[in-house]
Amino acid sequence: MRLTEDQSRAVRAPGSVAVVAGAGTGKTHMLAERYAHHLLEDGLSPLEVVAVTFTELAADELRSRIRGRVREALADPEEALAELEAAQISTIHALCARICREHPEEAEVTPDFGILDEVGSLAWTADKLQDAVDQLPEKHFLALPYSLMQDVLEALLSDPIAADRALGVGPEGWEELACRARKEALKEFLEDPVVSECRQTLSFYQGAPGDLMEEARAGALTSLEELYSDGEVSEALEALCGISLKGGSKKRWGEGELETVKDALKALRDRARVERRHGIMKGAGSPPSRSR
Amino acid sequence: MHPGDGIGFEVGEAGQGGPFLVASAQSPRDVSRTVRLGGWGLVSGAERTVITPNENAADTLDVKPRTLEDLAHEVLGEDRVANPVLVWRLMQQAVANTLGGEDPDGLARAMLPAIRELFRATPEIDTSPGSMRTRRVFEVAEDYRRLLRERSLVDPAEVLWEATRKCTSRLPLLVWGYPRFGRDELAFIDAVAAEGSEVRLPWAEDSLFGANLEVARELEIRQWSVQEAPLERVWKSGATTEALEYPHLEAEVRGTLARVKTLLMEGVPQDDLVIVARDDSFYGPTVLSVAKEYGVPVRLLYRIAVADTRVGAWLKMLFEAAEEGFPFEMTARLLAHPLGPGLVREGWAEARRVRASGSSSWEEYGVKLAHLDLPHIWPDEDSRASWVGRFEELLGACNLGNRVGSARREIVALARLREGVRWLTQPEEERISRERFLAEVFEAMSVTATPAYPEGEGVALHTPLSLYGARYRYIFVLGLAEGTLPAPVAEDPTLDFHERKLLKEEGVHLELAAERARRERLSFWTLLQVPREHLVLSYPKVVGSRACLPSPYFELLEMEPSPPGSLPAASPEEARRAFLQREGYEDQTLKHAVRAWEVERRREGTDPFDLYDGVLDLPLEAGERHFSASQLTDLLRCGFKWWADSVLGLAEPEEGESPALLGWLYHKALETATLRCMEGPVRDLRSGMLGCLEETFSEAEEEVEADRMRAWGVRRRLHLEMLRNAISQGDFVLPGAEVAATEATFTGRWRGFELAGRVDRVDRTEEGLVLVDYKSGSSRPRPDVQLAIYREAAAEALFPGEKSRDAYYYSLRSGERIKGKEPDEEELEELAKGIHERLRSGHLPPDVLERDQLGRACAVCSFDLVCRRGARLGRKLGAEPEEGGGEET
Repeated sequence: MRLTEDQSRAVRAPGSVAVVAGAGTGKTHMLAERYAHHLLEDGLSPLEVVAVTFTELAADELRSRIRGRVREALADPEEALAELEAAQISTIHALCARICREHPEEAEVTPDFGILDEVGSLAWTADKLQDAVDQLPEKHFLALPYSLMQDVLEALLSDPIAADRALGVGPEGWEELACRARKEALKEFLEDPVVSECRQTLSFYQGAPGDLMEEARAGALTSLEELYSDGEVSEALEALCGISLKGGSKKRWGEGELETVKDALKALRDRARVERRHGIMKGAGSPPSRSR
Repeated sequence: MHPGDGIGFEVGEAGQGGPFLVASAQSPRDVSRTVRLGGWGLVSGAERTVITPNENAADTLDVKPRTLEDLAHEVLGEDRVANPVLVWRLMQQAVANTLGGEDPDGLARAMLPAIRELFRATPEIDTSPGSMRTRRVFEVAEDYRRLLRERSLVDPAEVLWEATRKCTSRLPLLVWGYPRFGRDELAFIDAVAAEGSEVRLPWAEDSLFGANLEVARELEIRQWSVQEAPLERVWKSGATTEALEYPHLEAEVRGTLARVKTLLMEGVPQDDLVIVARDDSFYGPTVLSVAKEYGVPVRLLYRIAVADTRVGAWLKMLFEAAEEGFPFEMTARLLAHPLGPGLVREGWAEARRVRASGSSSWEEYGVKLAHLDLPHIWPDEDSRASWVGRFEELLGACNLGNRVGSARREIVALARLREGVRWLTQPEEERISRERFLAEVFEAMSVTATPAYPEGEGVALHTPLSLYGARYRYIFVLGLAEGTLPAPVAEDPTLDFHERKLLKEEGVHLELAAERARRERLSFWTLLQVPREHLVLSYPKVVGSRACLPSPYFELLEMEPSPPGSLPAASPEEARRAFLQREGYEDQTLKHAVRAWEVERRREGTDPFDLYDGVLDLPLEAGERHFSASQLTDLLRCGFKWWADSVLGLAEPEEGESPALLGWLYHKALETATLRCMEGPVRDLRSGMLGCLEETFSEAEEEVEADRMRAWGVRRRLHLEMLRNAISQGDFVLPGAEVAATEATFTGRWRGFELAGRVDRVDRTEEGLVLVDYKSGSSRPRPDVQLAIYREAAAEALFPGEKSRDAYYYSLRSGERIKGKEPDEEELEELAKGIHERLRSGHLPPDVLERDQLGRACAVCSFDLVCRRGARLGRKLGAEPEEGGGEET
């Protein structure tokens, strides 16, 4: 397969290069060519090149393509082909595992560490966390009831980076972090294509006054605008979650409009309820108050 | 008797004249020794000692199995090779001596493979490498070797070099079936092979065999004659070959074993068939399970640690449970284990209820653990020899020998375990602690290997390595997928390929990446030599959740894998499946299964609640029942809870810490303290209750068996403090109030409901009665009718004619009256109507999230296993019966 001009530039780019392209546009082909370029033109050994893919299948596929490319391009490919079998072409997890294995002291892990799979990890955590909670000094339970301690630790462990950041700044910075998280959640909600599309639909159609579905449409739109204009988030979100789809007369709408509006309202309500369950967005509009 | 049997060796002294490698190269007798490069045809031993790389190759030539390592052991004599337990101990010591650090165990484990490779590559470490990382490995290796030599021992990886040094007499050998030689093998062959010896190595004009040509040239320098007859075609098997692809791993194993079964039924002997997998321990469990279904006898010969067998797992459990003082969970697992002493049905129910803990506590429920209570029956310290004796006694006391029954794997594992623990005896007089001995037993179990499924007969699952030189009529090679065969060439984390390249420049030749890849390919080549009649190569397109590509080795053979076509049903299960799936067949079970699946799909999906979620559509007349105030509140918050509890009468088996246990404890402690105040001459309720709280709390603790709660030792004081604080606060009792009743039961009527309930406390004031309900938390139920019931019905029922002044919730956690808006008369009427309507329509789903987004009511509900709680209830939130599009209602 021939390279396009853009692909060719990416393959031969002397320094770092970022390629953004959609599915099925030949990214893997381009990557295999760039890898081969490093071997054939830059004189590197496969042991000096790292290739990272999203899945193990993609890694296998890339290795297979490079193998074919090397076989085509070199008169005596045996050494390169053999070394290719040892080349680091893998997922990022496999690469990181190798780095930790080769540098256990720096990674602060035991040199013979193993990696738990998802199920094993859940079972291990459930088993050990309870023991750890039971062994905590009594003073911690004065600050946090026993019944909540495990939930809190589980939540912290589920996102160790955020937990590290939060514990790093201390309680005085938590409101700031929470406020930022709320704003991010609100932004994400408003930028969700489902929400924008619903807003567009609800702005476009209008039923006759007094119709129940029209009331629901107008109410939903007001709540949405409240969110877009940095208004009171909790109330607006509650209102969206509570949209009622009951009632509405076809006679008071144009052909097919009632169904369209109802679908949009349902989609918006479902999305809002998901957000409510996450529980992050509430209070996004209000500024952080200083703790005493 | 096979040629070469019983030949002895004179063992020379170490250090006399150095390795024989040098001496033998100068011997004129060696000229008749021959290296034949070329094909791997069958040969006759003809009065020579035949050396093969494995038992299968020896069987092929019909000679006694003897490998180069076996021969080297004979040269060295008995007890010269360190056992696995000692290897492990000395490696840890060497790491600690050399590197110190916090984790000598982990470092030792990580370094041992590289050190063994180093030992095989070179007999002496006479270089000091430039790289810091490599130098560390070399230093540990040297110290480890020093520790071995102090005990006149060698590591298993040094056997060939050491035998080369010690060998003083030679044998006529035929070395056959090895696809290549390591440097230590080559040196040993040269040292031990006498006149007339012959070595066969595969060779063709292909880089795959380049190393063999080098070996031949090296031997030629040492006066061996070299004969060359190169193979004409490398990538060709003499047998008919099939390449197959299966949809997934289990299908591959099923397809393969179905063919194996067909051949067996056609009369092909088991020994003519072999199954091969690059990673046999990965394929082993699936092969075993399908083989059992098919009734195909198989043998799995790969080795697993004794710790991974049933025997090992049970002993590990026993040691841990005993050291921890027989806590409930661990001990229950220990007892229920197939090798455990078992559970007494009656005693078990009670032990489970109170979560028995400790040897004597278990004893109360009929479980005898005294003979396993190691911290009590074993001393803190003893000599190694005594510890090993005690261990043997323990095995006898557990009757483990009988308990393993006829399970061959466990019998072998137990024997291996005993052998491994016996290695701990040395030095016999050394005194070690019990903890240390148990830790060493764990180590022994993890380093002592035992076969995974050592049946006497059956079609064997092998790796390519154990088939070097072997011949079978039929061979089935599994897992020919990219990333599996060939296996990825993994770097050794201790000595990576970069370090190895540097070492090579310093004269130490450890295997490099390309050499390792070629070895893998050579190993595949050897598989092509195995079949006499038929070779089947297959790969699964999916393994677990991972999609696989076919191996590049298919290309070497110029083959493209294709689907296997239809296969015969190889088990009654498969035959039944095929029968049930035939066209036009109506299966009665299937109808029920489909229906059950549909119920399940609806329960877990976004469909509205239905019959299976409390939407009964059957009227439940309120007038026929009695309700407590909390039951009516339940009906408002979650009808399903009321239905499960009051109508179905469901109850969880009482076990350990139930969500309500703390509530019982609080109520009991407060009730008793209140009663003491009421009975005695106490003027102030608060000080009276505080005075006796410690005592009533202890009594309540005993009554509800509070010590079954986890970490109760830590939590007890906090809860007692909490109650003390709750009593001390002003809201606990109004000024001037006297207690009129505690835990007072009443009957009455409220808005069409017959009541039968209980009030935590009723106080009397000048303005009238005050009814108090204790809450563990600090929020009030919503919607709520309980306080209204207290005011409107309970007060009158308990103290007829007296005025009701107030009713409130009191939070024991925060020590204050729980505030919040109470429903007004109109709302109360609506709520009561709502309950009547729910009952009349039989609409009792777990729709708690509709009114309580965070599901607070679910946190302490005992019926969550029935309603399943969690995300499923959230999915129902959006569900509404289809409507709209019609006229406005």
